[in-house]
Amino acid sequence: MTTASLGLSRRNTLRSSLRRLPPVIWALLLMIIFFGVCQPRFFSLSNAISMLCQGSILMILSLGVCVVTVAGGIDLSVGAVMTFSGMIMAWLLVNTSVPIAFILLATLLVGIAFGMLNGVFVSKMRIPSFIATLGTQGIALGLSLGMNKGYTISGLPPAIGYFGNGTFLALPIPIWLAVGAFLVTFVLLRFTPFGVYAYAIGGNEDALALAGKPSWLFKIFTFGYAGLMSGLAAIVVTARSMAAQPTVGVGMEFEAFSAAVLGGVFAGRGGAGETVLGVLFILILRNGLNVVGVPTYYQLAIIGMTLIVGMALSMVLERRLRR
Amino acid sequence: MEEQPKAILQLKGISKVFPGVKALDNVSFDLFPGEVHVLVGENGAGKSTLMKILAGAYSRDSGDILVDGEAQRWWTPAIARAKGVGMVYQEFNLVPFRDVAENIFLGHERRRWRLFLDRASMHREAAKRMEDIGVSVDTHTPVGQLGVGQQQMVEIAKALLLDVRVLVLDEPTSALTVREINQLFETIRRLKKLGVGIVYISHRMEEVTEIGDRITVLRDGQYIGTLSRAEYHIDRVVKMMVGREIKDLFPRHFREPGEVALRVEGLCTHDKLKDVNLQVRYGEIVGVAGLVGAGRTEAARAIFGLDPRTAGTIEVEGKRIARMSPPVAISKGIGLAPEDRKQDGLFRMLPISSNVLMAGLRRFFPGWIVTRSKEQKVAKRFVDTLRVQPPQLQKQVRYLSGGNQQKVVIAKWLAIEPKVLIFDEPTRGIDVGAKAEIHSLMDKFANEGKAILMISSELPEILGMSDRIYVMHEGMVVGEFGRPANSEEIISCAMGVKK
Repeated sequence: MTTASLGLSRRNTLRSSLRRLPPVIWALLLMIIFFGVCQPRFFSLSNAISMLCQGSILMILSLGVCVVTVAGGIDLSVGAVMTFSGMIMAWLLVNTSVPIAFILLATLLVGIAFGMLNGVFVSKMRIPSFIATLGTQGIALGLSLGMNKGYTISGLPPAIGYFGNGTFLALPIPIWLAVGAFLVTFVLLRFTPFGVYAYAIGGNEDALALAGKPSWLFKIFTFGYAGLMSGLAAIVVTARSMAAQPTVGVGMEFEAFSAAVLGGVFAGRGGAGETVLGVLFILILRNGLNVVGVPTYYQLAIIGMTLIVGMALSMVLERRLRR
Repeated sequence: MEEQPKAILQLKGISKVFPGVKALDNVSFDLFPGEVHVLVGENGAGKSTLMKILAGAYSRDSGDILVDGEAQRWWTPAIARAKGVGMVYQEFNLVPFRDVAENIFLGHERRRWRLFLDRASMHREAAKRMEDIGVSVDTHTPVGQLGVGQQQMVEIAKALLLDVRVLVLDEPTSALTVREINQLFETIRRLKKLGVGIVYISHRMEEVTEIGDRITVLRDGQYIGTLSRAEYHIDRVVKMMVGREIKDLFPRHFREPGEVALRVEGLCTHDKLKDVNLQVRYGEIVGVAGLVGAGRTEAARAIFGLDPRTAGTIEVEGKRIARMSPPVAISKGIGLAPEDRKQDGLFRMLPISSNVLMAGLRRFFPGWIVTRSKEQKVAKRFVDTLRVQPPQLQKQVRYLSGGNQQKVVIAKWLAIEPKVLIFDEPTRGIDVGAKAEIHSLMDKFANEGKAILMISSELPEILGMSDRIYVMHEGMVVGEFGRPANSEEIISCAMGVKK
């Protein structure tokens, strides 16, 4: 190949890879500049770290939602499952003398169990994922409220606080956990056959079935993975507040779903990277609105509006690109 | 002397019964290495069923499958693949957003350290395999961004990934351009040299003569015969495909057609239709024949304004309709009884009365309020005229038989006092008795002076009912026949044989 043609092809790939970047990046940049100009405090390192630490829970949940969404499903239960796993964790910590490691494992297992249950409903019983996971959301939320008659479980052993407020190499543990969850999800979707199958289910499930693979089983696994992430988020959220509140996850589904979709995750498309962008978008939006002084109540409305505007824009973009 | 090659594959005396239909009756088929064996037959002759049995997707009721002369007892999709049977279905089974390599290797990924994908090696191998079949394509491109021809090639590469000895191509050229077809034939010739046996299903006679070594004809689920290259001639094949006697079962009155009610000229849509010219006069039944995928349903949809047209004119009673849409069509007195009546023609969960009034509601209720008693009275009139069984207005239409559901669709259009009625496969899935009733209704409407356009894949229906017949092929009206029409001429015309 001549050098000239090499240069040409490289320039082409640069342009096409620029175009392939998720549009949310430009929105992110705009927002960072806007909030930074409005309130220079926004740019401080402590603000960034506290934002990311706060956001680690959303990050972990969104990564689970991402895997389900890529495979063509919707998971509306992640927040409630996180809450319930956290309640179980706190109950075990307060009322039993089981070693902490086992309790953490049990917390993850509760999440996985709920996720797999969702998967079975969707895959084997053919209930639309929207309905199945809405049902599970109700179940998990109701059980969380019932466990301690609606009250918070507190008085956890101080050792558990490490997972919420401890630091490692100057960064809070929740951030490390979120980074770990990102890496695992990224590798899973990008570099393993499971990832290929998840995308295939979202893109054309018949193709996978005709290739002789049990697509139904892999579908169950995608929900199981979302459950695992809910369990991990439960550990962080419980350890951070040293208590398990039965309403801590209310509304988290909405934010996790918004993050994944705004990042550019759809059935058969998008991935862990896009999810991180979507999560950063929501975190920066919230943080910026806080810094600027918009009351929390209205923030939800603004995120909802962003979701709709973002979707409308991406539909227009898509139609434009297809031509 | 050279040794006679042994058949890779033999199907012997295969039969398959679906509820109510004998899809295959004692059909045999064989395939030698390095040959292209063409399978032809009309719509519903049993080609697809036979191929699904070969792929293991359907089980056979009786008969033997032999691979290399050995009878196979168990025959599932997995075993079929393991024995070297590769299928390329007419509808592609690709994952649109994923790249070429991933699609080719779907389900058979190469791994590194067991758990991880070996993408580099998959891309290398995919590129090589695409080149082997004569295509150079960047294996990192999502298949959704490829043209149809290249997608077809990806499907073939996918089928050839495992050591394939029998490759089934089901209507492989239906979506391809001429250049892509030539490329496909080039690929097929290469595969022949490698000793792959190819089963080639097609409707197009030109192709069949160009690529086929032998040709087997099926008709109504039965094996009619196999011709070798030296023996076959288009006329002979067509005769074998049609074969049956067309009995004059159809109620038909003599009538004199009136003025032109509907005239369509140069109609095109962005995907399927290329040039549709037709006209229907009052008091006339006009049949539209053609093979599946010829664009007949699309033509009906475009005329009714469901799909936008990109060129051409539609005239109703001599007046051009600039922007056709279903409301406009209905206001001009055009009704469409669609092919898939359960999906497109009816509200299955609603009662008969609501369905009957769905299109003509405003005629009977110009104001804001729909009263139950008047609704029932109006609906009853039409239900009685058409003798819908049972005549219970409150019954949800999903509980009716196919024939009565079709009558409800017809009643809906009678309620707008139609001038032009378009029937798309009016008697599909309807039992014999009800079929005759629908036919006599159509005859009655024509006698009353309505203009009728009837799309049908059943040749006897076309021949028996129509005053005139148009034949469509690849999005164009390619022929027009008066009465009495010759079935062989129509079939040849529908398959694109040029005279």
